[in-house]
Amino acid sequence: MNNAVVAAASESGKKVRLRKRSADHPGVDIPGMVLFLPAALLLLALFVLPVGYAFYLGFTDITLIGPTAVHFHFTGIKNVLRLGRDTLFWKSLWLTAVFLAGSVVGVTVVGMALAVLMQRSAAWLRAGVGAVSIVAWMLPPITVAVVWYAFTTTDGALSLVTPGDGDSLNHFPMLVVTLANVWATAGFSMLILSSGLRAVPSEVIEAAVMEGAPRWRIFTSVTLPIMRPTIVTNILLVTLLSLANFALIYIMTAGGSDNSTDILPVYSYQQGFVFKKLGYGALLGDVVVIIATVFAYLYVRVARQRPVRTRLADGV
Amino acid sequence: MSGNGTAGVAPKAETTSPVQKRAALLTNLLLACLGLLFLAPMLWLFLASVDEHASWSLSLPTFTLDHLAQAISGRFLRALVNTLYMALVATVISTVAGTLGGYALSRRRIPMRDGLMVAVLFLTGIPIAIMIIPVFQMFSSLGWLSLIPTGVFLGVTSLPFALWLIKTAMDSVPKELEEAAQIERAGVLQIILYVTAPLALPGIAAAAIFSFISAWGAFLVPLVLISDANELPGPILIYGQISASQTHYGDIAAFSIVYSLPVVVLYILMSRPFAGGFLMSGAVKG
Repeated sequence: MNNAVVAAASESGKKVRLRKRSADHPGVDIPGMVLFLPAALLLLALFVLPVGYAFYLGFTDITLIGPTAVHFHFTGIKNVLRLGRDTLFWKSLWLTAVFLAGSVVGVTVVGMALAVLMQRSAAWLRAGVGAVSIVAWMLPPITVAVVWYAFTTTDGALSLVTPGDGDSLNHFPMLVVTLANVWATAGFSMLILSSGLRAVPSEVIEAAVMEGAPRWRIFTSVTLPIMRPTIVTNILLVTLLSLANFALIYIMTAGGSDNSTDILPVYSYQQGFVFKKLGYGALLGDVVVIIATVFAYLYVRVARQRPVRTRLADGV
Repeated sequence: MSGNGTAGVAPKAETTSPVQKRAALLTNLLLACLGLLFLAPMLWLFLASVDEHASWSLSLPTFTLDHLAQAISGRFLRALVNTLYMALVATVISTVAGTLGGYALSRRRIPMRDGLMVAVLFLTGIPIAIMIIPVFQMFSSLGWLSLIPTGVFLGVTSLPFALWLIKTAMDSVPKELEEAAQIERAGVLQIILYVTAPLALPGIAAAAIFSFISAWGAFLVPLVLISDANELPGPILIYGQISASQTHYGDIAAFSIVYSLPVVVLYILMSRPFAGGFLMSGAVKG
């Protein structure tokens, strides 16, 4: 079984390491497995099982109340057919894409701007802005939602500088929740991108400066390409974080106004707990799992590649 | 171009004055603007929390400390205690299971270890929201819709990341120390408790803080899994207050501050190990 995993990883260096270890400690390590047991049981019972159970429930007629709350049945692809016909689902899928794309672009651009500016700014300013953006990231989701609700609702602080009745949240709900998400996540992105920026060798930049290249050109043609792996990691993590950000949108808009912020996690909750159709809600959740799986898979690939590359670099 | 290059090198020392000064000023100005944009939404929170006539609007407060006094008494205080209780259960679950499991993954021969590590890393990316329907179904049929089981579940949702952090931290602890302890006939648990865990403390602390913060801020899980009004944690109480017929804006703002403070303080106190944790998670290039 080990060999299959190694083959899948297809990294020759790792293969050698693994084989050596097996030779060092032959036999089954009972104490080691006992130590791993609590984590394994907890993860199986409350993580893997629920995800598997969600897939099963997605194909049943289970409801929150009534007779089918207890005596529910497997209904085959009935829910899937309903999914295909459900215009709100397709709209929700599109809104999820809009929210994720807007968040990723916004968070990465703001995070990068913070990282780049902080690298060259006065120390006190760097400390202050760094603290504020990180605090925004640390704040619990409910606080972010309350703060942004107050900021963007009628008579809110933003209405002092915007025309009309000032109810930005009601007029541009998707824009507002995306901005709130950017505000709450940019500090995280800044931390990741800052360390990526520090890892750019200064000799390369100095060489470009000596060649007389303009600053923006150095940034786009030298710094960004070198930072590519960090930026890719950042994009994948921000996507996963935003996909998991149910609370912000649910508290600020509950999917409104007029379903215009009804991203999949919110729509799944509504079908399950508001319309009491747990089975259909679970199926909608399954769609989120599939989307998250794609990004989590990409993230695992990128994250696993990193140490290998660093190890090679150290060896040279 | 080469002429340009040499021209660029020679006066390097002198160019520090006008051009670079202007660039530095521009940089500081841009960063200050960004900082203000981050600060702007928070303003309301501070003003409304001490304003006798607080509303959603931003106005100069008629100073009062009533809201802050409210926020640490009665049902608000109970909500804080509930949140603390839930977050501590979650932290203990994920840190204890994560330390034992992380040690096993780092030091012991576990079958399919590499595959397990990939699986653990993969689980860190799965959004918790999608598990809520099956977990609700499981917990309600077992009669577990209360604070402790909710804390346990929240702990498990942090466990993959905790395992990853602690395993990575233990990987960098030298094995020789454990071998020395082994010669002294120390048991496995003693070795973990007195040798490996203290040396991997930054990673373990990062995992504990991560678990605590995510359980402390959890919204959807307690919203669905906790039904008893006496067991409501902070976020659900705030949510109820916003949608209540009579909104007490000042109380909401004051309680939001009190409720958010521990998370911010915890982060500031432990920012070093925490940043280290992210370094280790592979999110950042070391």
